Amino acid sequence: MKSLIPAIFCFLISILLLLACKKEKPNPQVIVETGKIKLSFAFFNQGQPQIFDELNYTNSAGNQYLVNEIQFFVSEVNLYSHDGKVVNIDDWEIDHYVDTDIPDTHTWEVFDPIPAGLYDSIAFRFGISEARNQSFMFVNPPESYMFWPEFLGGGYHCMKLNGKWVDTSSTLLPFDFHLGTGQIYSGNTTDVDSITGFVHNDFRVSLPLSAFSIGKDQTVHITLRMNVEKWFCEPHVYDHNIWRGDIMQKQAAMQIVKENGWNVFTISSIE
Amino acid sequence: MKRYFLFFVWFLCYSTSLYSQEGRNISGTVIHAVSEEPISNVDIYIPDLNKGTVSDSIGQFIISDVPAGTWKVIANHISYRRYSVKVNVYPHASAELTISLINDTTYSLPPLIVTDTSSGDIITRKAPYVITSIQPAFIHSTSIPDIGQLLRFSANVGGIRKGGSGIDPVVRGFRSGQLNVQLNSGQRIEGGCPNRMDPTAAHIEKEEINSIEVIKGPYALRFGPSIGGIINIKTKMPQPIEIPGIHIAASRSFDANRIGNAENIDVYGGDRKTYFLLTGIHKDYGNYTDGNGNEVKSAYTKYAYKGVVTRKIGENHRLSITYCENKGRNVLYPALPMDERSDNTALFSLDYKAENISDLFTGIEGKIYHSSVDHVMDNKYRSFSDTVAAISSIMAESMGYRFQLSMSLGGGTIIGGTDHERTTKDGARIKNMILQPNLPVKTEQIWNDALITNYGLFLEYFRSEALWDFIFAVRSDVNHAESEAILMKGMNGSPIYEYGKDSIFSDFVPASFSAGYTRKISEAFSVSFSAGRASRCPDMTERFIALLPVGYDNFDYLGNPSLKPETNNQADITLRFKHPSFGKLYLNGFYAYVQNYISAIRLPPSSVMPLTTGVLGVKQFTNIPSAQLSGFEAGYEYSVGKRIVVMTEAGFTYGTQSEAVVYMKNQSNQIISEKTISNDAIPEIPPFEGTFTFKYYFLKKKFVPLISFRYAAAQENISAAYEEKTTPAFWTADFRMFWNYNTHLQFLAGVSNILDKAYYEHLNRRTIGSSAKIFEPGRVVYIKISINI
Repeated sequence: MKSLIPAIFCFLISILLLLACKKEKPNPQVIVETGKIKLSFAFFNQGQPQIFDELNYTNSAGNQYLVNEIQFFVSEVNLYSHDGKVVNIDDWEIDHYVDTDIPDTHTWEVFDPIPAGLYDSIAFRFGISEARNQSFMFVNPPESYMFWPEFLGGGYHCMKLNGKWVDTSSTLLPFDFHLGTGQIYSGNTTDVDSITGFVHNDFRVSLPLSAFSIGKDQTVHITLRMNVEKWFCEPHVYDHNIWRGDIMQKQAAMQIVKENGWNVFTISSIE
Repeated sequence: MKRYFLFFVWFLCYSTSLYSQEGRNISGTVIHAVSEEPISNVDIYIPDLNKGTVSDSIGQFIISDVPAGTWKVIANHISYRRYSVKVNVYPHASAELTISLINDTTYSLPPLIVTDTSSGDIITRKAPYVITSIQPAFIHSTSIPDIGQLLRFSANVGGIRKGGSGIDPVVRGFRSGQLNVQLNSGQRIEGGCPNRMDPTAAHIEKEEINSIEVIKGPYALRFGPSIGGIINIKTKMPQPIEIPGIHIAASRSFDANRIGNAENIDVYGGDRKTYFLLTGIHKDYGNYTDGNGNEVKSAYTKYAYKGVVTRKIGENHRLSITYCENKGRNVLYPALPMDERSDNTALFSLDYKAENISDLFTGIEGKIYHSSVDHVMDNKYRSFSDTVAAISSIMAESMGYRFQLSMSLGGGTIIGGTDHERTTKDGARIKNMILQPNLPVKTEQIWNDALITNYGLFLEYFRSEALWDFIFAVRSDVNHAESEAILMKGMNGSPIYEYGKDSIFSDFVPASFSAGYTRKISEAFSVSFSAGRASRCPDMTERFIALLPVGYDNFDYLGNPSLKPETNNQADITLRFKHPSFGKLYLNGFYAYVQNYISAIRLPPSSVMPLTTGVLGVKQFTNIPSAQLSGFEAGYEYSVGKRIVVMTEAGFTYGTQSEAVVYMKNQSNQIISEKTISNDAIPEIPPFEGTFTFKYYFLKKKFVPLISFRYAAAQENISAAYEEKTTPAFWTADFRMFWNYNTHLQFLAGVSNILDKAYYEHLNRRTIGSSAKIFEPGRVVYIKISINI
């Protein structure tokens, strides 16, 4: 009998261990009917799909030009519901990178479940807001290639629109139509040591005629169209012969780009 | 599974048939009194009965059919003092004893020379749970240069390979902080790299060690908190020498695959009262070539020197001082974003041991230690170093003590004591953004004066009777962790990630207990049952790591200071069978239910962005409700006559976590939704593995050729949440031969992966920037010469 005491002891410990393994109670959850949205980006120029690398466009300033590529960030997408609520797209990604050379980026299947209902409009930020636009926040390409030099303000480009134009001497020259952090220089110089401040050129875009409804488990596909020629015409006429190829240190030029951006995007379709 | 079940049924039937056999045995193990390593070829006999035997390669012996009574047993070996003891043999029970031998004065053979090639993994200690030991004979008769790789030869022990060295052990699916890896029964070493390129075993060279003991399960609580097991790495220690003098043991080996050498010299000497050991090691290995003929960037250079002095104070007391420096240089890790540029590890230990103090107090052991690791890593050899040159310098220190007192009580032995560990870590990653000119160097704090202290109290009671053994252990810890506030700022000064405003604290008082019982069913057959509940507090990485890719998957990880301790509730059943005509066999089954299992969840980029180039995002450590692990191990050894020995061993673990989150992706690889799933596999668990070894003794065991085969099944039980990939099955064959020319000269030669197979272990990590796992070395031809004077 004495020799059984340890065995009984072990048995009791086993029972104790089993009792310790209590079941977790499931948390009650509130069920909300949701659907999904998918954003696509299309590129048009003068009412037709953009053709890249071909010199067959003329802007409002009369510059003959071609477009090689367009890369930009869209962030802080908001959906304005008919009952006054705002749905922020931020559950997973806030920023979405679009690159005309990378078809996978032309579609953004939004992670966030969107409450079913009627929505009046959609808006977003072109670029990344000052608060969030930090150098090295993207560690992997292609987003990391959008960096804006630290000595010019840091962070990331809002947009790179690269192409070529025919200048007044009929020479085909490259232009880097880039939008990012602008600099304020003391005096008539672009010496980085004379920078006294920075200007953040990201801007909000509100899309008219973007009302839609979303049902339970339904995916609404919204196609956003960039009308490339609009970057050069409204409200300011942008002349490549004036601003030349590189505008990253020309805040006045970037201000024009920023102000022209208000009507570059339109809704192409909602399905 | 059906095969295993049939085997189990057959085994039980066979065991039962032997239960009724008549006759009693005297069995046991012969060990060295100081090093506690087994001694083979010892004559053990009972003069009055004219019966005897010889201890086998692992020091074990059985004298069968001993009548009841009190018998004088004598153990005799040319190199050791004669040993004599009286043994009581009862009518219905066998006797088991441990014979401790000390070196003989006249024929003192160097204790550090391998005398046999043995199996890699055996059960050595009397305990109701599984304790295995990798023996010096095996350690010093293989070409394997790394301790972690040696451990892979234990059943149900795998290793995570990230490069040519520093393989990180996984025991029954438990890893990293779930295992308590220690040096010489108590000394802890905290690695510098948060990505575990330098786990504890990477700071000790194979040539330094004598044996490795693996105690599986949450049972051996007096060695520190552990829920998965304890790996105790025992280094060579000096031994008393009766005729004062100095001896030298040296070896040099060459590896034709790595095109590298390893040299080791041990100088030992002294007298009966004061004796010492000085060790020097140098290793220089190039990249190895895998079975496809591809070079794996795995080169490294290491060297070490060490001194141990022991002084006997009186007959039963001794004091040892150990100091060791291990250096690593240019250690390549193709699976990690950085390589080890330099590692300077300094280990100090002061040990006191007293034995047979009185009838009541049977022993005292005390240890004070300090371990420091100065670890520097960089990305010099990575493709992205032309855009971001990164260097990390980490200083990790552990210091502590362990004290235990053994007493005879109630027919058993009670061991009580206390231990303490204090671990600190501090360091930063410095990035130089080459792509942008004139950019200030960016410094990211990896640890911010992180500290963990742990005070433990333990008590163990062990009692052994003729028909049963019983062990009970209890442990309580007071665990405190703190760090300066974690704040990572972007270039414009705004926070990228922050946790806490001042200092961060977490305190726990976990309690653990275990019990085990062995019942001897017959002279040959015993059954052991163990049960335990043990907790371990989150480690430094799990609590405080700040955005570094430290996990299995390609993510930056964030620590979580709010983590709760993991608690493992485990039970083991072990069957042991040992009979002269059948051989030795063991079979173990275990089940573990881990509460508050520490896993990780992915954080959306909208909340935190990664900092490491090439990673997919950010994960944070978190507790999930539970995880379950179960499996078995089995081993069998059989001698055909005195010349042939066959051994086989196998192990398997199946593990699931109660809940995990998987992410759905579209064709563009965008994450579009998430789903919580149940019973997802725990990642990084090795598949079913088995080994078979055949060896033959020539020339009175002086020349021993050995061939071994290893089979690993395909691993298809993979984690969906961790996007783990399946691994195909493979088998390999190794051959080696050992020639003990005389007491002064020994040769070892062999070929591992004879067929030059291209394969990788399931636990091998992916080469950075690739989805392909690191392959194991192809054919390795090696030779080693050892001299002893």
